[in-house]
Amino acid sequence: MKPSHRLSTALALPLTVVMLSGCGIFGSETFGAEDRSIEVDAGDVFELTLPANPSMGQDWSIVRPGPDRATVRQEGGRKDDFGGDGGADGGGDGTQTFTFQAVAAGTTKIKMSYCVLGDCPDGDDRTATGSPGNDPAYFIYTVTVR
Amino acid sequence: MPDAGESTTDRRQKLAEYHGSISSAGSKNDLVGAINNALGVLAPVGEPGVLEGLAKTYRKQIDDVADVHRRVLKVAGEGLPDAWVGSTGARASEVVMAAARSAEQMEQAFSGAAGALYRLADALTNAKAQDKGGREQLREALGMLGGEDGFFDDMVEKDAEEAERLRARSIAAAGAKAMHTAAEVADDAARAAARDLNKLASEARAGQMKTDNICAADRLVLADIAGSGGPAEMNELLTANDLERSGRAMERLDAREEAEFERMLAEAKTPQERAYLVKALAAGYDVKEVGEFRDKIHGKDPDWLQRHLTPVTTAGDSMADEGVHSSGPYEGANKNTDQQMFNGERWSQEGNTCVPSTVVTGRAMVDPVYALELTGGPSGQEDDPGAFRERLREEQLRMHDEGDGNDAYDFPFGSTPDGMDNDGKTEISTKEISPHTGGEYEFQEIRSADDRRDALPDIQRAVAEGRPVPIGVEGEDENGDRVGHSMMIIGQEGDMLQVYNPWGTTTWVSEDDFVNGNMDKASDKDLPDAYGVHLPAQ
Repeated sequence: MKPSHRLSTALALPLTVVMLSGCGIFGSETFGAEDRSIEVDAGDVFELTLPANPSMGQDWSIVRPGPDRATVRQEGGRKDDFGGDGGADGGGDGTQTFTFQAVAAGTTKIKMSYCVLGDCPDGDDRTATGSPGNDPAYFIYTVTVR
Repeated sequence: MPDAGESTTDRRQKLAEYHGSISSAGSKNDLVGAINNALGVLAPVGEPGVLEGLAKTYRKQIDDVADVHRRVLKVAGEGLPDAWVGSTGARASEVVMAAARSAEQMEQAFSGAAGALYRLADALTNAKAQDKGGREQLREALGMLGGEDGFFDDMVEKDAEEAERLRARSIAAAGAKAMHTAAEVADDAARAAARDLNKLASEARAGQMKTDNICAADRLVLADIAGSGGPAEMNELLTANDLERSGRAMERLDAREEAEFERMLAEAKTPQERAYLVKALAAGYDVKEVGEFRDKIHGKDPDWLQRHLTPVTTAGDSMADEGVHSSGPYEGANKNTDQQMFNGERWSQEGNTCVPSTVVTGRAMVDPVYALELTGGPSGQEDDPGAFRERLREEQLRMHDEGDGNDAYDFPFGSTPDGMDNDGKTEISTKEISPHTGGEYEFQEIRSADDRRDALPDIQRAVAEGRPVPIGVEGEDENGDRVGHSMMIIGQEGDMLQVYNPWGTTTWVSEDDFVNGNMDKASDKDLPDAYGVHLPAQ
């Protein structure tokens, strides 16, 4: 393997999405795939923006029944952005974004289903501890609303 | 006067254009010009009578071949002594069964060819009649319009003249529409006939191996050997191209090499082992290298050989139409999709490496020595899916570098692959696949339905011969941002194409899906349009 290429390492790192946690000064706060513990204030709007390159078949959805609506409520539908690949097949920084409203103080979990390469996790599949890579998995985000 | 169309697709395109010009012509002179353009396109060419005569000749052969088939089956049923062996050790019973299947295939080929020619003759007869009717309408319209107006004539148009012009335009539009429909019928029929006949020709497999170094009986058996993972007729181990290339390679062997190769074939424990040795020779390896390969696979059972040396297996029910996913993460994708795996680990991309991953699998399909390096490791004896994944990843990265792919930098952790353009894809296809199949790859953009339709016969001929055809697909999000993906056409049956997706899957799409932007069936709704194809030179 060429030394400069560290694919497996990179798959355990934010591959394409630069997340700016705590940027609420300029609007809604944005969290990424690795931000499994999210803290927000009641009334805040925050986004979960996840890597989703169509060429990898990456696709995210909220596992029903979803988070406790008394604590966190989804706002609108998922927003898909292919990111553009500049004409290089397979490249690009595609994302899928979910927007939430922090309703009232409390803690809840958002369980996300991560599908990749045409495959989705089933009921028995593992919960991911690393970053989204080649294997389908569940990603669980714990949201604490202050 | 425009150039007369050169091909059926040209004629179809031109008449679609001229039909539009006629329907929208705003002046007498524009209309006259457009009508003359349409009349300048050649009528459908070809003689239905000649085609029907040829079809009848094929039909007549069917009874004779059926008789041979019956007689060979009788011999197979009564059995032969095992003592009878061919020069490469193919047992007599194998030869008889191969001969029976060959006779059956020949019967089907004559029947298929006759049917294809009859269908073409019928379509051509109808197309010529429809074209003739359309031309008569165009000439009638020209007669109503008279000659083109001069400069001053054109300045004023009376109500009666306008009414007459519009009536002529209506007649001409109907005529051009009829000609265009005729051109479509002729084009579709010609392509279907070419597709079917090319496929039948490629299936006359034993005849591809032109060498005296191997006897006819053994050629028959070799052409008939299939892998263990699916129906024989969909999983033959030696493609037409393999048989042709191995025949030429055998012709080049000196006496010592010839004896050594024949010894390896004779000592093979299974027909599949024998076929993989021939495939290695076809892939361009010399006898010494084939011998090293042979030492690694000798005596392995057919399932082991299949798992280690053939990345893609075609399941018997793989062509069943089970519809597409109507919602969910893979909306638009075929439900009937097969995963291609080595011991549970898929032949899939890792990270943004769809292009090199396509080519890695493409090479492994045509080069069993390479496939074994990936699956079995340096010793060729490993059966470890984790180690296979590591080697597959390294190969994907090696080809990513070889094709000068893009990288995403993630300081301080290094970089990761981030896509590859079509120059790189052509380069690695030519460097990695061509040496093992012959014929360098060339990129062809196919961003319109007509372009895609035009490319189909070349794609179908290539895959029927056993040369994989990498393609590019693309889609856009609601902001107009483009994303592209690499896949590969690897098989063809009738009007269906078998597609490998480096997600580690294969599925079938129709010609119409390929032409009309429904390639999402092989991936999902985000990637509907085939836009480019990498074709191997013949």
